[in-house]
Amino acid sequence: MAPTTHRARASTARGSRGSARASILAALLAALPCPLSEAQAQTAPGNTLNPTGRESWSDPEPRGMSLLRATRRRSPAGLLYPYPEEPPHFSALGGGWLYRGSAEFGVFWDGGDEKETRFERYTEWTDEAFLSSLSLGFVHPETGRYLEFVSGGLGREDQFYRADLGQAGLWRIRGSFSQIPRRFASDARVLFAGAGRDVLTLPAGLTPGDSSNAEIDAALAGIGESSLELRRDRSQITLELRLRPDLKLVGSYGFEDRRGARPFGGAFSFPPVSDTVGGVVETVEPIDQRTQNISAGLEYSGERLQTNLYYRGSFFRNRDDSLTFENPFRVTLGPGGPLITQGRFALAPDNDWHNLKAQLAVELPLRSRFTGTLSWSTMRQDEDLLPPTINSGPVAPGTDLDDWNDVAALSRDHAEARIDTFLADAVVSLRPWKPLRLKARLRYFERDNDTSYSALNPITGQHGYIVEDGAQAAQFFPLSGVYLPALPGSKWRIRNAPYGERRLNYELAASYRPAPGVTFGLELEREQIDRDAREREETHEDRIAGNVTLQALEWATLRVAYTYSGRNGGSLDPGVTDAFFSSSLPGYVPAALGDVPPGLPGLVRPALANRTRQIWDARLSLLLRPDLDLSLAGRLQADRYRSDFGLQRERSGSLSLECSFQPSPDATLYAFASLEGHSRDLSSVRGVSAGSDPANSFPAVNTWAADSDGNTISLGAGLAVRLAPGWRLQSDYSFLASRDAQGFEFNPAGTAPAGGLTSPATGSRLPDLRTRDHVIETSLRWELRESLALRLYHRYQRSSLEDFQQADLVARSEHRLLLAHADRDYAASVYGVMLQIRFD
Amino acid sequence: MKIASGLGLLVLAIGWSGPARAEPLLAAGNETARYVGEAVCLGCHSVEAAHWEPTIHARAFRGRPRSTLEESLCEACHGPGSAHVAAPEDPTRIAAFTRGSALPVEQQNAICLQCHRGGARLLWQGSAHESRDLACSDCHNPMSASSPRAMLRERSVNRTCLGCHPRQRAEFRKRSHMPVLEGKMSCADCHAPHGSNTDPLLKGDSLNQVCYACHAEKRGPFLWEHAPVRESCLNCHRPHGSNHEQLLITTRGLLCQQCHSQVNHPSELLTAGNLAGGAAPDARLINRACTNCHAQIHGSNHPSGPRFHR
Repeated sequence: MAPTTHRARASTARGSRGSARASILAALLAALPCPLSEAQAQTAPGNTLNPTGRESWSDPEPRGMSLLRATRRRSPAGLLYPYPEEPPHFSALGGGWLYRGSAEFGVFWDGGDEKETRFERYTEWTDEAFLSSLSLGFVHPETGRYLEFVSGGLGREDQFYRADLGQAGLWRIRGSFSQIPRRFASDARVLFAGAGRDVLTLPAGLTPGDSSNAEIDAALAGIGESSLELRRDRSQITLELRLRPDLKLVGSYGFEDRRGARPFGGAFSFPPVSDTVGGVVETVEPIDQRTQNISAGLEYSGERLQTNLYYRGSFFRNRDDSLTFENPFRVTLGPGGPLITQGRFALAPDNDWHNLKAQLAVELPLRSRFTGTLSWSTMRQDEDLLPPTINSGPVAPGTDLDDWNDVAALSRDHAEARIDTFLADAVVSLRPWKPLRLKARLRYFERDNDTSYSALNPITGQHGYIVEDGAQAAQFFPLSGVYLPALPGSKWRIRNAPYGERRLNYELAASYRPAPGVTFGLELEREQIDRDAREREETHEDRIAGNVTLQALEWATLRVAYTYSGRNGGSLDPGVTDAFFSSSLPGYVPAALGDVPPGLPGLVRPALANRTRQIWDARLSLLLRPDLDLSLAGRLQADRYRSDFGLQRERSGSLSLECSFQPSPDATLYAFASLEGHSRDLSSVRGVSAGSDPANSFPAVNTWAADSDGNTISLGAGLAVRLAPGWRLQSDYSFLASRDAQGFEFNPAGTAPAGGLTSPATGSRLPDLRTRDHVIETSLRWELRESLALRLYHRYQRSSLEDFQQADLVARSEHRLLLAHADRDYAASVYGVMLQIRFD
Repeated sequence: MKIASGLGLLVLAIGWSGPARAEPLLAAGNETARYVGEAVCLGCHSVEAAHWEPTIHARAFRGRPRSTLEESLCEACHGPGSAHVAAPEDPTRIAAFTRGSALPVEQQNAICLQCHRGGARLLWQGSAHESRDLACSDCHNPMSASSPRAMLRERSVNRTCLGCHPRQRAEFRKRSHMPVLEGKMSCADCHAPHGSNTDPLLKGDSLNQVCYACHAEKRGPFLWEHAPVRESCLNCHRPHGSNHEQLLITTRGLLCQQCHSQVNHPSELLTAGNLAGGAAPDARLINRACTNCHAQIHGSNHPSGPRFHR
């Protein structure tokens, strides 16, 4: 069966309150003759064939950078500057304008497992002839005006275009367009019709909410493999206009269109399930989203004072505000009972973001300087809300879905969600003595969540909601999600938790330069965080860091840094979230043995736990020869969490070796090797419903521990050589191998492992997660004439992957309907024959 | 009124700050040097000049100089050259921006900042790169149009950054990674190399603000928020690349269990027997693991989404 691709879609359902305003705004912006802009991304559009986004015609300068020096130049840190390319040759166009250009046209074809997901994850490699590169340049030397245009992969899904227009030193307009494909799966077994749209329906032969496994299997037998992918079309235009030598107006407008489909979850009740209570249903999320970004600003750069004032805005719109999917499994509530026929997700809501930022730098007396930033942002979202469920009928005593499947069942019908952030950052640096610099910094960041929502049904007067469109109530009625006051232990969320934080950083730093090229640095910092609605309201972290930079040696540059930090905090209050649950309501009746603790006592979440952290960082660049760079970099990080359970320890280390050998413009070589290792330890206790006493709910006999460790080896090498006059060869090879292992320990006398497995069935570890990738890319270029060249291209990729999460997946197993995607091993090649032409 | 007062103060401050300085900074002992003009420089440095000619500096200095300093072309950056002409082998007689320069890095940078202060460089002083003695010319090469934009030392932003950050080079090759090596992203999309209010040289007021620039659908705010998600995307994801899918820091089940330990299913140990081919396959371990059911893990806007099921 031929594979299908789920990408494009065209439907919209319910709108949001902001969508009309956004459309008007978008139309106005689109109508601007010179749209505003600011850099949001898009600093380097390119593609796999041309990752640097440069024009195709380039030759190294045979004279190097200078006629005066035989040796190469290095940057102050000791890095070799690459051999420059031949300066572009311009021809006269008339009126003082000069021009140049180049193009590359070729035929590509691929072979092997070229349709494998990971081979085309961010790239298009289809067989076809296309313009792989086109560049044009115009310059008017007398006035400094210029226009430059570079593009690549024209017409393909990874194409890019970039244009710069301006008058040097006065104004500049930059525009770019880049497409980014993203493939998620090429082997998805999608049972539903409508993938890529906002309603997924079951094929003929299946009855929503009432199909047997045999019927599902029969339907799946006729389903082939599909591709799930999306594409970002990202465009941007920026403007810079120098009003005065020290005053610049900047602006930008960016538009991103994302369309496609991606794998998504879904469930009708939870495992273990019986034949009558639904199951896990992996779905396909439609992607039809647009984001517009605008910015405008003023930058003043006086000698003693500089200031920046910016406005930035971002407006996200999703044409799919919900995803409805029919239930392939049988969910019954007894003879004659209603069926849980479908479920419905609320997808990412439309949202707006605004930011105002002011920055100021002032030179002060006594060689001191003040820098300050004030930034205020607001994120707002006012989407129309969906009803608590899409289904109908009584599912539990006191719970009829007909009372919950309309927006009238909500305490309000739109979100009114808002988060504001505020940043104030002030730095004073001074130089009391020439070799000594001191810095004091105070940074305050606040995130204030103003969203307030109550899960209260005005129709019934009940608190709560409907779990999984009624499916869990079908499994066991107390799990409906609706607070039932008469039912002991009926504990459900009744309002949202407005997570917020206030983060204050104090920093003192000193750097001492006893001699040119020698610097010692010391930094002290305290970070204090106060949080809203978290079980630990306050933490503070003290950090001390030292660094040494040594550039004074002729033959080496050394950088060493060490950081130690310790985080502690206030008392833990696991009951802080009680206010958001029905247990806070008057008349609430706890479970007979008392409500179980909200979590394992002694388990502190990593972001809140006491922690010590040490980081060693070192980099040594050896200038062994005038044409040879050798650098060695290492990093080690060790985190230890002071928590009885949860994440206990995390370590990572890396060692990198890089070599660059540039004996002449006709031959340059490089190689790199990197070794990385990491480990993390976790422990927990399997909880059981045994009342409020933690000793009973989390018996020590159920303690388990899991440790994971892994390593990655990355190697690469490449060369660019002139084989003969007019012949150049460039080849790059990279290899990566990784392994992640996960082992665990538990007490066989306890009941820790899930599924009631015996010890022999559980083993002591999960299968290793492994990847192994090879990529080799080669270009052979033959300059046929001064302005004409032929390029032969070859790329070979081979990859193997083992992931236990994807192993042995089938489309339907028990009450699990999955897309059954697995990243597979592959080997694929791309061949190309390209003609390069230069017109100047 | 407050805004008007603030703007008034700003205008006063701008007026007070005066015009930009138009004289190059010189090495000690070179104060008496005088300008010799480009023609003298070209007598020896014709190749350098040929490479400099297509740069934006050359276009600006020749086509529309903003000051007398820019009109002096080579000497705008290198300083007056008479002392250098008299003693060309003496490195102290000319401002150079390469290793072995007689000028300390700080003074080299000050020459660049004469024209490039403010804007994106407003926070340069005291930034991570500046305080580690990085020179402008460690990343930029104004003598050659090597990169499409910004006159970088290497062919692109990414190659320039990876020259000093080799660990990230390996991370971008991992199983899941940002499309940096594929040319679709740049280090400068997320990082502000000239200084920032947010570590590590991030472009936003917070890490999440940086992520939302490309993942605006995660921005919300949502009716039901997931606390660690709102706090920092890095609670669950690696920023550059990961051996796990979706740039996760570890396998999904264990990732969730480092925070979730409630009785029953969140706290259970999942083992090899719970794999798809095991004796008791369990959806919490296979495929999307916990997110098979808790699909809206980044936050839900569904009134029935407190547990991120919808």
